[in-house]
Amino acid sequence: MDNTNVDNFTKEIISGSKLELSNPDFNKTLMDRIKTQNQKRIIYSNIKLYSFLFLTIDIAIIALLNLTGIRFSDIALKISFINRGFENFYSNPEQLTSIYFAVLFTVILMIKLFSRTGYSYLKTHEG
Amino acid sequence: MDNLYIQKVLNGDYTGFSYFVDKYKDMAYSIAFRIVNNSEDAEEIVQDSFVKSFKSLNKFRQDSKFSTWFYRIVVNNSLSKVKRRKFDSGNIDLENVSDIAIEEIESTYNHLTQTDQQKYINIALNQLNYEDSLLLTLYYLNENSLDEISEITEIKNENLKMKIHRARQKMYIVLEKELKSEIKNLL
Repeated sequence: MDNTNVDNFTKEIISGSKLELSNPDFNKTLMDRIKTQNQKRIIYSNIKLYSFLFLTIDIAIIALLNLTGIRFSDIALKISFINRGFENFYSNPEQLTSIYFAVLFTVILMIKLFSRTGYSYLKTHEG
Repeated sequence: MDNLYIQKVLNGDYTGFSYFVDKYKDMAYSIAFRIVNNSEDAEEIVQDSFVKSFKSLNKFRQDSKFSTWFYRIVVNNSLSKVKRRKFDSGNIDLENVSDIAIEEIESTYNHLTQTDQQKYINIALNQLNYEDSLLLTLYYLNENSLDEISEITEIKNENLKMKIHRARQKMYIVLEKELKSEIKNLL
């Protein structure tokens, strides 16, 4: 028998060796695992995104504080005073109040910018 | 078509992956079974290979077929399993290979029922070592090219033809022996 015929016969007989998965739950079990992996992937990418955002905001805050001449140690000092029972809360009320107002202003500004109301407000007052 | 579903999955639609599961599960199972020779292990390997390919789909460069890349994962996972269990591969003597009468095997084989044909070919493949059995499955059953088989098995392309040829001879030695005992039983 020549090589081509042997090849054809081999192909023919080996086609009978094909195996099939007999477990009827195979696809469901596997797709459940894939779903879990997909959720993990989404969570992981969200963590990366939020970490990046928080880091950027932190850097921006540090830069802002440096520009305005407010030191971190000042804020930390104020917070520790507050924690000790407000006894020194008014030690330098101007500085502390300005920080609180700055934070409040930023929060309001962000709500204005990112909420639907804020967006509509900006659209209405455009021009 | 594969590339379309790859994009679908990469864009976040994980349900698109079921296309690959339906298309490749049986062949992956055949490959895994030829190496580990155990249906439960083979099924577990196929599951793990699909999960692994899903996790690393973004690393798939698409310069080869998805099937080639995926079967490579199946082979790697199967070989890891075999190493852990210290699978002992059988040795078949190739000394008397010129005596094989393939016409005779063909004639006997064609007289068998389809169920018996499947039974004997699976017996023959199970008696080969996993490399021979895998090469025959990829080349004759899945009709992979030599380049693809080389990529899946990491066997050098120039050695493949000879290895496949030897694997085929070994299979016929086993098949001849099995069929002779079948004829004896019939008589």
